[in-house]
Amino acid sequence: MAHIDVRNLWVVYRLPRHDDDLVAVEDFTLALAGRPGEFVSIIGPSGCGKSTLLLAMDGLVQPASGDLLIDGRPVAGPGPDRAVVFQEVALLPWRTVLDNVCFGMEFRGVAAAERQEVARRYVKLVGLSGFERHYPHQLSGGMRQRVGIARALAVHPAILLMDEPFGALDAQTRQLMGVELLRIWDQERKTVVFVTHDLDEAIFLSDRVVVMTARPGRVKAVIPIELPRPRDQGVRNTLAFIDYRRQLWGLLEEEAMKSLDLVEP
Amino acid sequence: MRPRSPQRASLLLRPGARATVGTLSVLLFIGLWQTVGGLALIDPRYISTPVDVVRAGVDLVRTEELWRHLRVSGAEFALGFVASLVVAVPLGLLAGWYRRLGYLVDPVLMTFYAMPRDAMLPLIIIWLGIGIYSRAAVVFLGAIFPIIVNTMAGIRKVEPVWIRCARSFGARERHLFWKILLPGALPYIMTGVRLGIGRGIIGVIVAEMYVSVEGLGELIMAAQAGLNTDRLVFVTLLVSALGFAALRLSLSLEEWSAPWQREREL
Amino acid sequence: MAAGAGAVAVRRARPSAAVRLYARYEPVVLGAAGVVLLFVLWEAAGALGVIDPRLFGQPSRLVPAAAGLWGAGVLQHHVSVTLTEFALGFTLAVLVGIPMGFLMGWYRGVEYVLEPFVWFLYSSPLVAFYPLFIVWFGIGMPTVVTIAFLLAVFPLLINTVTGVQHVEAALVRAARSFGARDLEIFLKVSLPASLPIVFAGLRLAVGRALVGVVVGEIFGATAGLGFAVRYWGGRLRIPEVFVFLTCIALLGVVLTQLIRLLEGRLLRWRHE
Repeated sequence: MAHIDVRNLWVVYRLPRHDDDLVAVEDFTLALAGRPGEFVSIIGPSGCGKSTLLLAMDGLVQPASGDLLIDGRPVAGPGPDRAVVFQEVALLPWRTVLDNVCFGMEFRGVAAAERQEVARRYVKLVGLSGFERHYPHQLSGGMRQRVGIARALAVHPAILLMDEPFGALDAQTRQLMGVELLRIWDQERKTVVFVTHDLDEAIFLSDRVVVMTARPGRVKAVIPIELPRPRDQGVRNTLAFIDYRRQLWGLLEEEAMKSLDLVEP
Repeated sequence: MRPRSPQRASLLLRPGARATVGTLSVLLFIGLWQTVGGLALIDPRYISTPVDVVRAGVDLVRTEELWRHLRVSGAEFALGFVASLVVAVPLGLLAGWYRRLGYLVDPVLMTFYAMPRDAMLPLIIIWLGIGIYSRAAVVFLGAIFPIIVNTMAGIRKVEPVWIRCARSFGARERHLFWKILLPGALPYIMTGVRLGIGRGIIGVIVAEMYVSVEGLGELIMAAQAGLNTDRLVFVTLLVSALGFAALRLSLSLEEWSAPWQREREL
Repeated sequence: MAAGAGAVAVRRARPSAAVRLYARYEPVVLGAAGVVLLFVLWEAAGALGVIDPRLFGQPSRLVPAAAGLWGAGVLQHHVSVTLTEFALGFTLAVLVGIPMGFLMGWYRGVEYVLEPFVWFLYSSPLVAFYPLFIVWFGIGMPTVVTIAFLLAVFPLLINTVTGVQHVEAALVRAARSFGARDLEIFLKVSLPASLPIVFAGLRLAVGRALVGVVVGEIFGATAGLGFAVRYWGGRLRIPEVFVFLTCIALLGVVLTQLIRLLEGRLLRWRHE
């Protein structure tokens, strides 16, 4: 289960009214024999295409060429085995918290009454009981992202794809949301693929961290994080944690320097 | 952001100051008007006086004349406006969603949008006669373009990430339409509706003044022809009050449709 | 586009130069096609007898009508009258609306006193006041200019007030912390920062001033495009009516584009 196989993947965006196409993912190869219920983070320098890769895994963007297999089957489009937690949260502003959590189930043939019940359960799970009738604009950034997580979990995916979900939060909220995510994940053991550029976040959350190179995107290293679970904030101050950080930064720094040259015009 | 308020201005910061000052200001204006007109500092045939205006209004209400004209104007407006809504919203949604269709109709729409369409009135009379349909047609023409243009803009401003999110959960095209595009564009549609109502009301009045058979516009023309300034001012103020009520109503509709958007251009 | 198993790593072929050129200018090309299509359909409908060209006109009949009007100097005359009235009404609206808007936005007292009148008149179909203006000013340019001015001034005023009041507090605070005085804050922070919303008001004002001029001319004038439409319409000279309507439409487009151009120039710092 949750065996992800990406081979020489290219994703090219065709921009309307532009001569040049935008290459978002360039020759990406990644083989990940995920264990069920494993938490895997992908880190890499900006612009290596890790976010686009995640969307391609969901089937939201079509590769221009290359292979993308999940459990041996090519990804042809979004499917019920996967759900995404979006970087921009993507809550519908005209829906309440509860209705936003129902949203995903509406396309999966879940009856209305059951949707409500399931949604209530997941709103509770992510710690938003009492906010069911609130609208997104009445919530803080962290609360909004909890709704995004509940919405994804409510469709019972086998794999949860998380695209820098805490990227827009402030540092403290971000750390607390990490703790929360682990608590939720502990109750709903999904395979999680988590894209981030935050080393600490990746170490704190993951069973394994995949370090990508700058373009062309390759796996530079896969580092198992053998910190005991359940983890709390205190683990960030342990020597083991700091060692992991030093090791990962060593791997990433060179790639980050390369991508700086790529990013600057 | 205003300048630091000096001490003497602090009265204005009290709650209710806005309403109090506003009311006082209106009362002062009415008093001034009554004085100037009543003492004939300016010939009251030009400006009337508040007391006379009220008296003229009471007369109109008592003779049932007002209701007849009001009903006609209301019917014309409703007919033209509903028709424009029925045509404009689907058209705007289509032209907003299908990019190429949008390109195709854009210049034509923008030309009509920028043009004072009330000028087509003489032509419309030739086509449709002087009955209710020609006047409703002026309302229709006034309202339809703001609604189409804003509906198109609304669809184009639907966040791509909402659509992406729906697709990720397995939404099909028709789902997208009902669950994302229509509610997402609704605030803009309501802006179009607000602008359309404004233009529609101008349309009713202009058409009725032009045709001069029935309706509030006719009442204005008749008052002018009979040199009845009191009645003229009353009907003019009534029409303005109706416009004001319609604007307030459509503004609250707009806020209701998108409570997450606070600021809007007027 | 190939997805999934067995795809070879080859990039999609680049589109040809012609295709790319089209892609870049697609909106312009399709937009022009839309306009041409409209005229062709109109012409064809008249020629095939779907509509009666005597009532609904026909593009081919507009050209001789336009030539005739131009030759007699009628077209130029009406256009220049309309433009003059528009210029007067709009300029007056700018001269009154923007300073008043700043005053109302800046001084709470002024705002509270004037607010009821502004909102009332803003939402009123001011055209209804024209018989009063005829009583006051008589038929002709003063009445037309007054209607145009009144229709244009209120959106301008209201947007200016909104613009001044919504300048970011942080900007004003920053200026104050550097020791700026009220006048300096106004000139260097509030004024430029409120320009985007002021321009939204200007755009609305252009449209409404034009409505005011044309409608005013229909009712209370003896010259101008609005008057001409009524005059030729009354004589059932449909091609002439369409010529003047086309002028009105073109005027609307040109004036709106001019204000957009100005906006683009002055507000270059604002990105989409």
